[in-house]
Amino acid sequence: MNTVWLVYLLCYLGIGVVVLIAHRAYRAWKPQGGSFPIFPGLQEKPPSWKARLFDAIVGPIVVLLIFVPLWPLLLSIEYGFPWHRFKFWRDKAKTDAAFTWPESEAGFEVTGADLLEKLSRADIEAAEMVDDPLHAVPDKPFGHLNGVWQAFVDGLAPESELWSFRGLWKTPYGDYQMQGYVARQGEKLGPHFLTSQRLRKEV
Amino acid sequence: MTAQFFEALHYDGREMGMTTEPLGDYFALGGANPGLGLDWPADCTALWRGYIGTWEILRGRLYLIAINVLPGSRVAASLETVFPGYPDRVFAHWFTGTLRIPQGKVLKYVHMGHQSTFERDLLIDVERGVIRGERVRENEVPQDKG
Repeated sequence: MNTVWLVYLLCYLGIGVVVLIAHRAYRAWKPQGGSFPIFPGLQEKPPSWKARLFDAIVGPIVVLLIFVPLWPLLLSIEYGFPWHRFKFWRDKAKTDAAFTWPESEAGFEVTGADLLEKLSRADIEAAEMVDDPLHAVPDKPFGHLNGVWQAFVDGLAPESELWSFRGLWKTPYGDYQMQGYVARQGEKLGPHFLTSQRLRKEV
Repeated sequence: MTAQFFEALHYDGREMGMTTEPLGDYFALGGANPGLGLDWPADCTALWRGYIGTWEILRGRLYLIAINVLPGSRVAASLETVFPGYPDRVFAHWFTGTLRIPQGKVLKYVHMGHQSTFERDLLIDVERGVIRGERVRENEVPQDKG
């Protein structure tokens, strides 16, 4: 290896060391968000001498040996460089699309037997106002779900009636009690708006 | 499927882990999901849903007070991005069900979802975001099916 390349290599590794120190300092100054227990019942034991030795000596050496040669890659992962945008197998449209149940689970349909009561839109909106003493919800019908409700009613045919319903949805994961409002035209039931989906019996 | 991280719950002056995921109900009811839990492969196999919600029971109501994603997550989500205009606190009025808060030692570990059994479960009944009652269920070591 000639001297020029050796200088480049040392510069690269030197930058890696500086970046590592800066990163550690940044993390010490601004720790990551809180940690959450998988099992809160497990009691933490005091670290063993092996763990303390690892934390004090072996760990930092391993980090140094791995981080310094690979610092651009590891830094990009740590700070969320959008590598996934370059993966050919990713379907961006899927991520950007609004959530929908997979086809196999989109099986709930309101039946005539589920219907409870015919209501006007004004009645429903008056009954579904959500209030909160801490003002942590919009002062609108269905609160944080108001946009979903608006989209639902905006898509209804003018002659649609609105009915409340309560039905059971059997899935491979359990039985859900579903509640909400459904559009009805004559004997035909149209789209529905869910207000509650409660697991009744887990499989 | 790996055992999943708990949600965090602040209740009665303590921070606890909770297996119930009320934000999943919000998405199921049509609430806009910025893409949480929809990525494949997932950022972490112990977090298929893609976030950890921090909840608080205050004055008899259930609130969502934070949404955390893993460092480097592909989906940048927070309380503000999921609930614009509500960066600090969101009343979980959409949730009706029972919050399960495992307590004590693990009696049986199951490497899937939230299926491990603990000594007891604190169960809190919620109706449209309002706490209706709570009870403690003492558990036994489950018998293997077979």
